[in-house]
This record gives sequence, C-alpha cells and structure tokens, in this order.
Amino acid sequence: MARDTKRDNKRDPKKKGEKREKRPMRKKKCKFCLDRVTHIDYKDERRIRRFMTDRGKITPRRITGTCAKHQRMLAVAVKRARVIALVPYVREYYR
Amino acid sequence: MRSYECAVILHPAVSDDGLRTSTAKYVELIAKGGGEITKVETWGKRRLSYEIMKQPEGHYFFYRFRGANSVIDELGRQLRIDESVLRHLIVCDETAEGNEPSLDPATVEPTMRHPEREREEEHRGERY
Repeated sequence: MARDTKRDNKRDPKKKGEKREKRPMRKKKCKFCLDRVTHIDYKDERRIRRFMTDRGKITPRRITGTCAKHQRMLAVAVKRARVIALVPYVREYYR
Repeated sequence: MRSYECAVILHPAVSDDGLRTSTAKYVELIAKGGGEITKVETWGKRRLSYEIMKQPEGHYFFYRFRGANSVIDELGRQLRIDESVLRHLIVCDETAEGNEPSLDPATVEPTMRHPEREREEEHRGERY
C-alpha cells in the first residue's frame, strides 16, 4: 500500500505545481551534435542565419541549446561570414 | 604545406573578361609561389549583406589551394593592391584532407555554384 501512495504523489500534477511555480524547461539538444557536425562552414549562410537574431547578433547558447564546442565553432563561422558580407554585422531598423 | 581557402569579392562593374583575367591572375600567382590549386569556385554576382565601398553587389570567388605561407603573404598583398577587389578573406581550410588532386593552373575554370538554388534541395528535412 505504501508503494501505491508514493506513486500517486508522483503522478499528481497539482502537487508538483504547488511546490514549484516554474517548471524546468526540457533540456534542448545541440542541433550540431544531433547532426554530428565536425566543422561549421562560414559559406553556409542559411545554417548560420538560423543561429542569429534578425538584428544580426549571434543567439546565445541558453536560447538555442547549442553545446559549448559547437557554439565556439559557430561564432568563428559567423564572424568570417560577416567579413565577406554573407551576413550583416548589424541590421538597423530605425534610423 | 597547408590547405587554404581564399574568398574574394570583386567589384560589380567588372566585365566578364575582367573576371576571367582576374581569376587567371590569382591562379597564376598561387602557382608561381609553389602552391597547388585544388578548386576554384564562383557564386556569380550576389547581393552583399551590407554595402562595401558603396556597392550593394559583388562577384564572389573562392580559391582552394595548398601552399607555403609565403604564398599567403603575396596573395594577400596583391589582393589589397587590386582595386577591383572589394573584400577578401584567406582562411585555413580545415575540411581539406591535403590529398585533393591539384589542377593545372593554365586551364583552371571556375565552377559556378548557386547556393540559394541548392538550398531548397540540400536542406530539405534538416533541422536547420
């Protein structure tokens, strides 16, 4: 019987909600790791743009879920792509 | 010898003839310094993400080659002198294995690529 109550507690979503107001987000997987990427090409504009904001900034890891290793490679690729004008340094909307 | 990749953006006003002589010039320059060209690629005239020297467009060229660092120095120097070059970037090519066949510098023709058109096919079903 004791085992049953334990299980019930775990399953009750209300109780969990009371304890903690914010539920932890499901951990995002690094998209480069999923595809087993070993090198990020600076010429691959489309792929790079996915990891940039529309203002031209590099999106932080906490938002995209990219792992540290791939984020470093990504940052280099973005900076190179900026030099040859494939992606912007900044995009100004209001002047 | 290391493998390098050199990206060059040429002025949009350069004629077809001018593009050909420019390619030949840099190919020869690399070959003369003892470098081996493995690939020359062009993306044609393409819109720039931001204006460079007031130009909204440019001709994209990519040279892949192996060579000593003296080649890089000379190539970079020439690219900086050349007024039809809006921008250039020379980076170490990490994807190269170092055993790609080298092309004959006298007959090298740039291969045309259209990344925009390829995208649809290439990236279908990908997570990006």
